[in-house]
Amino acid sequence: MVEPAKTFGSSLAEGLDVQTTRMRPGFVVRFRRRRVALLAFWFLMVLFFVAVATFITSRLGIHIPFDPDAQNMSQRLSPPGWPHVLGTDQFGRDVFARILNASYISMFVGFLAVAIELALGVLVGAAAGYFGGWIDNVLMRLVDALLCIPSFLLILTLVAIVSPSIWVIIAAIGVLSWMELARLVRAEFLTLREMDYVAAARALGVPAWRIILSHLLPNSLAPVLVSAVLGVAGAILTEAGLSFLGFGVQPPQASWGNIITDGKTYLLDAWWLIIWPGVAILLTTMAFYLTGEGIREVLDPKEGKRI
Amino acid sequence: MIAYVIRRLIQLPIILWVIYTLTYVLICQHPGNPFIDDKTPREQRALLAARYGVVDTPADAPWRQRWADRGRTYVNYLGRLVLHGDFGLSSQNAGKTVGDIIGSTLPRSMMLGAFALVLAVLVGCSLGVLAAVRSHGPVDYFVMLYAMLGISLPTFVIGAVLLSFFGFTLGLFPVGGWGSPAQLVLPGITLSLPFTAYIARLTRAGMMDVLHADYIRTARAKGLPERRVVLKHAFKLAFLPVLSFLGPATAAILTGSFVVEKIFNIPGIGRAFVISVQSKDYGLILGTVMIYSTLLVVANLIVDLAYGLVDPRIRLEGDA
Repeated sequence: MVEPAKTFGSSLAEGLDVQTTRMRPGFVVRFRRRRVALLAFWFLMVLFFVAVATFITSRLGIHIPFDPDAQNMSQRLSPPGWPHVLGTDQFGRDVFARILNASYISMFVGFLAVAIELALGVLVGAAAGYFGGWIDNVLMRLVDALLCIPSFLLILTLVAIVSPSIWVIIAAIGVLSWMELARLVRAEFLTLREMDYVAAARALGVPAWRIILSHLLPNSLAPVLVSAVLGVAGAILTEAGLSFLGFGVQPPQASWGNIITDGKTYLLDAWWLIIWPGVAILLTTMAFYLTGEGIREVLDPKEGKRI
Repeated sequence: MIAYVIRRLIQLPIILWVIYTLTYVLICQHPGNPFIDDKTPREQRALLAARYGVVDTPADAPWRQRWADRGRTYVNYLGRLVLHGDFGLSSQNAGKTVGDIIGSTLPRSMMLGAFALVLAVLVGCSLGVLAAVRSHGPVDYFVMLYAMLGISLPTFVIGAVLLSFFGFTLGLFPVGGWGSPAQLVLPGITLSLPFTAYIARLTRAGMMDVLHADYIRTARAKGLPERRVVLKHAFKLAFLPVLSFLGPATAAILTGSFVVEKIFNIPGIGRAFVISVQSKDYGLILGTVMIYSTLLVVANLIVDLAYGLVDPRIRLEGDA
């Protein structure tokens, strides 16, 4: 008795899947029309490629253009020129090589932290938004309480107490910044679960996890995607801040933040120790922000009505 | 309204208690009693024992005894905090209580933060309104570019650049320290820049939405001067998103001062916190976390209440 109804239910539910995504065909076309966002996107692709290439070559022992850890005291604090394009630091290490080697650290921290953030935020937001009632109440009060602690403060404390390793930094950033995302997903789910097709699916006996996975989640993908892209920029900035304060990536491994910390000591003699890593951080975060905003504008149903 | 305020006021200590407990559990990762370690000066040990009944737990004590000690310390500490407003002792600075350290450093950070916040709201709102009124023109593009730079650049880069240019190269402002109003200028601007940028974006977006509303057309139709339409009618509504941003902004400005205080050598609470984390002064960590959280919770409450006052359309929960 139950079996045929279930098959009917799932086939009907699949029939309804036609409308499960807000990414209408033509998303790529419309994104490509936004020149600034497109430029930012290609910049990120290049950066990503450079970061992966640097990671692989440095693990293989090939250093382009220089070994980031090779010290050369006779070339100490030499200004940008040749062969050190962006100058050298207080140990005569090549700044360009160090910035390249820091790029994969930043990317790694950014993407992994956001992966944790996404997992937690979507899980909590989905549970709260779909089930409502006391589950919603408990989860949202937890979110409220966590939002009352300045997150940078807690991240700093956590990293310092446990140990300033890259894994702890990633975990701390991820675990302490999912709250806004959970609120976003919950708000989306609250509206979506009242939709007729969800009521239909529920009436047909489709299990809750399936409704969430195949109906609600794809429909709330757009804001989640935008918030994830912006989140990568936020995580990269947080890591840079931690490194600057001395709680981030530990020397001798280079990170954009700790190059600037060194540079602060030689502020008067070596502007290149601050400017170049600063430019690297600026371009990277700006590219993430612009890409995220481009996606948001393209996915916005009100797009085109330029006000 | 009154019911809502009362409910929020009851929630406030509960949230703070949860944060206190969470932080305490976090600092209990330390093997012994969190408030005592090998480097704790002798006079602090005596005071801790006398005033709080805190004694050093031997590292090889069974876990049951260690947690019993931590539990007792927790109750004693929380009791003194609630009854006497006593934040406990700094475990690394001889003869100093956490209250002393916070009392001397917090006013400096508050002053810096307030200056930065006021600057951010004034400059940010002006730029936002200007960009919206001259939308899609050169002024707009300039403001938007500035806003993009402001949120993408970390404060330590801005701070270092401002410091070396205006401080060292031009010699216009002192390069750091605390005491004179001139020493407030560079750190204040550095701290405010990301918020100025974000507020400018919020204001511009809000104004763009509002400027096409019917009531604005009405106001223009009845012959009000443009200046009045923009500043009085439109801006009042466009300011709402900025207002709700002020709660989180207060928190971010407070923690943003960690970096700024380090660059400009300001003896504020941010620097005290960073030092306490470096030296694992758990008493001071707990105290500063509580101070920051209290400020944030209160700031959020004020923002929510102000929201209800500014926008008559908002009805607060429990306000039947």
